[in-house]
Amino acid sequence: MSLNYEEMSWSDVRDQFRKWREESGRHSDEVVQLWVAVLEDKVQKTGNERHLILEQVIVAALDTARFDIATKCTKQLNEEFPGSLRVMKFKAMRLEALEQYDSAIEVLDAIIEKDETNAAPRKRKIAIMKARGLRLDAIKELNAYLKKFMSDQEAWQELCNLYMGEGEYGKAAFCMEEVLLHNPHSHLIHQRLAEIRYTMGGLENIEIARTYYSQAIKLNPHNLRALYGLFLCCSYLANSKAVSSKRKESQKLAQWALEQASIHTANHTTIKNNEKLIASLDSAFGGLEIKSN
Amino acid sequence: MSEYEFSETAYTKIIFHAAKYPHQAVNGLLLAEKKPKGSVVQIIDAIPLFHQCLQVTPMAEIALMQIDSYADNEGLVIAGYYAAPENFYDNQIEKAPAAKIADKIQENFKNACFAIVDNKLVTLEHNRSALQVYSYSNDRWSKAKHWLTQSSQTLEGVSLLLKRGAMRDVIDFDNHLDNPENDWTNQFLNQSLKDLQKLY
Amino acid sequence: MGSKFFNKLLLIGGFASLAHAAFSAAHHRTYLRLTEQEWSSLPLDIILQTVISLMIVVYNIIQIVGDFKEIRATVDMQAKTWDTLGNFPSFYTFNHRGRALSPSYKPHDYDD
Repeated sequence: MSLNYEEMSWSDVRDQFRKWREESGRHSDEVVQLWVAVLEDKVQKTGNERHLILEQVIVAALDTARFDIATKCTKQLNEEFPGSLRVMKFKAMRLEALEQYDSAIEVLDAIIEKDETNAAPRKRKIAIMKARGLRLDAIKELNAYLKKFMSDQEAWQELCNLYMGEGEYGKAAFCMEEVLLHNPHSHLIHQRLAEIRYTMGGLENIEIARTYYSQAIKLNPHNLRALYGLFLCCSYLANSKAVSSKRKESQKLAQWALEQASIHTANHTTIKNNEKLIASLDSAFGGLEIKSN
Repeated sequence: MSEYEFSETAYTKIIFHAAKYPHQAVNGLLLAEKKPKGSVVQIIDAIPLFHQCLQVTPMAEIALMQIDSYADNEGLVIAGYYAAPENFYDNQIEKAPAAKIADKIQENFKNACFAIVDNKLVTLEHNRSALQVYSYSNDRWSKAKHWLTQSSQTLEGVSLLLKRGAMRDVIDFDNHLDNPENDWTNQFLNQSLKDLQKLY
Repeated sequence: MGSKFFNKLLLIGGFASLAHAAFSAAHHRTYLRLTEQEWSSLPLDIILQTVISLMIVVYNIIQIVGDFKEIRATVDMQAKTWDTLGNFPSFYTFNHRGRALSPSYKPHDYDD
C-alpha cells in the first residue's frame, strides 16, 4: 500500500493514524512522514485525540531515529502534563533509543518507585535487556514480571518469542497455551501453537499439531498456513509407523488439505504455474524436512 | 572455496526486504544458475521468505518445496540463504536466525552460500555491499568473497529507491500466506533498476 | 453518501409524521371532550400513522448510525494477521535497522 501524501487532508491522516493505533500496526516511517507532511501544523484541530497522536508520533520517531521530532512532541506533552509518569516513560524511551541504557533504567526505576502497580515501565526494562542482546536476562525478568501480572497476554506472547529465540520450544508452547486460554477463538494462536509443536517434532507433537491446525481451519477456513500445516502433519503421520487405518486416514486428510490450499490460491494468484508448485509439495515431501531433532 | 557474484535483482530484493521490516529479523533464499561458470557462483535472484516468526519450521518447509520447484522451472537452483538479524549490532553468523535452513540447502547444493545482512550498512547512502557472505568448507561456515555486478550503479540505484519508499512493495512468503494475491516472485522487481526508478 | 442523505431526509420526515400523529391524537381527545362523547379508542388512521412513522424512524436511524458488527467472534479474527496480532508497543525495541535507515544516520567506522 502506498499513500499519496500530497493528496491527504489532515482528517484523512487522523483517520489513518487512528486505524493504525486500533489495529496496532507498526508503520513508523509512514507515521513520521505523514506527520511531517500533513499533520504537524494541524494537530490542534484534532481535539482530545491530540495526545494520543503525539504519543504515537513520539514512538514512531524514536523507531526511525528522528530524535528532533520525538523531543519536540515530548516537550509539548510535558508542558501540558508536567510531572506525568506517562510522559516520563517517553523520556526513558528516548534515552533508550539513544543507547543510554543506564540512565533510561534510572528513570524507569524512579517511575516504578512512585507507582508500584505501573506495568509499563517494567515492560520497558525488559525491552531494554532485549535491545542489549541479553535475552536470557530478559527471560528471567519477564518470568518475574508474569508472577506479578499474570493476565498480561502481551507479556506471555513476548516470553514465547524469547523462548523461541533460545530454541526452547517446550516452554514457548506453554506460553502460547496461556495466550490461547485468553483467546480461544483466535485461529492465529491455534496456528502458532501448531507450528511450535510441529517444529518440536516427534510423533506425539505432530499429532498435537494436527489437532491445533484442524481447529485453526475450523475457525478460519481460509487460513493458508493452517492448510499447508495440516498437509505436512498428515503426510508425516501417513509415512509414520502408526496403525495402517490411521495412516490411510492421514493420507486422505493430507490430500484434502492440499486441494483446499490449491483452490484458495488459484483464484487470486498471479504466480506462473502456481498449481504446479503446489502439486510439487506432494511429490517432494520428505526431502526437505528441517525439524529441530 | 567458492566466490559469489550477486546480480542487481537479487541484491535489490534482499535489501528491500530488510528495509521493509526494519524492526524484525527477515530471511530468504538465493537462486543461482544450475551450472556455474567456473568457480564463481552467480546469484541471479532472491526470494524473500519470512518476517513474522523465523523460528518455526512448517512454512519454511512449504516454501522450500515450492521455491525448489519454481527454481527448477526457471532453470535455477536454490543456492543460498540470507538472513538479517533483528538486533542492530548482530552481524555474526552465530546470531543469524534459522540457520538450519542454510545447512539444509548446503546438503543439496555443495557450493551454497550464507549471506548475512549487516544492519549497520543498510543505509540511505549505500556505498558498499551490506552483505557478509559465507561459504561452507570443512564442516563450518567461513567467510567468502563476494561482489555485485555493476557495483556502483546497483548501490546508487538501491539508495535512490530506498529514499523513495520502494521497499514497501516487496512481497515475501509471509505476505503471500496472509493473502494469496501477493506474489512472492516479485516480478516487478525483475526489471533493471533504471526502469524501476521511472516507476517511483 | 447519496443514500445516507436520503436516509436522513426520511428520518426527519418520520419524526415529523410521528409528531403529527401525537398532535392528531391530542386533537382527537379535545374534539371528543367538546362534543361530550365517550372515549373508546383512537381512530384507525392515527394508529396506522403512528406505527408506520415509528418503523420509518427506526429503520433510518439504523441506516445512519453505522455498520453492524458481526455477532460471531471468529469473523472479526479472520481478517487479522500476525503482523498486527504479534505487535506489542510496550515491548518495542529501538536497536534495529531503522536506525541506519534514518536520513540523519552517520555510519561509524568499524572493522569487519
